[in-house]
Amino acid sequence: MPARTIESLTPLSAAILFALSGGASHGYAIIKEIETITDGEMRPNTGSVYLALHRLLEDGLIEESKGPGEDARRRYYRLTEAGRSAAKAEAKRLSQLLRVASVKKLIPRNAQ
Amino acid sequence: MRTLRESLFDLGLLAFPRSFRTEYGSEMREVARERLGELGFLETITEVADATIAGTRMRFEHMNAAMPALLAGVAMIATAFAMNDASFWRRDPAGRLDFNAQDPAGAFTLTVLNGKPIAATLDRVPLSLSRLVATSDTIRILKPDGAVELAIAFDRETGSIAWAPRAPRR
Repeated sequence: MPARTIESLTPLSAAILFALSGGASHGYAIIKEIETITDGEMRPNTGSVYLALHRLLEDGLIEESKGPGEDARRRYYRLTEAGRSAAKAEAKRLSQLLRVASVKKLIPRNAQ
Repeated sequence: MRTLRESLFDLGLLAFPRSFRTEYGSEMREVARERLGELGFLETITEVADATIAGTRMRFEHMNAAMPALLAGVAMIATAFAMNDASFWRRDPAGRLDFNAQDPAGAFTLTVLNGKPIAATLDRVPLSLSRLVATSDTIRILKPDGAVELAIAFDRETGSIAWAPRAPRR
């Protein structure tokens, strides 16, 4: 299956890539990390997260990885090189959008 | 012991294809078990609903090539019903059906007695019977010049109608 283009990354998929940029993690920790890095603005549910993880695996943006422990109940995921590139490209796109929003005075100064 | 919340989440998981559940089911249950301990009742319902919706979306993605066409057909019929606002039909025991409907081009009514059209109006203007042409499952309302104004599919079993919405008049 051809990889989805960066333009079609959903906000949740992008958030998962960002959450994994710090290293391999498991499903529950990914959800908690997304809640933390978005200040609770995104509170993803288990079903959506695993659907997104499945798609990211299919697209080769993440891969399974060995975790730090021996907990067989948990599967760990980490970014592939393509996933890291996609995360950087998405971050760049968002920062450009943010710059436009700032120029247009759509965000308060203290929020930047 | 499994809690009611975990059992509810398991029900939501059933929306996913079996192959996906085999691959991720136990892991998702584990994650959900941890999360459900932190969530209130309403958030639990959201968690279960999310699993159901995500699983359903995935099932649609995994259907073979013929299914999207079938689903598109069903969706078109459903959309036609919704757009044409056919909810005002009523049926009485004498076999008379009165339809009072609306689409982007305007309102029309149609009266069917024992499967045959006996009266119709377009924008509240009564039409002569010569402008109503019926076959076994279709009723056509003709324009004055004989062209078809409306082709209405008539389902005798359910006593319902469906039609392609007309474009708005300029």
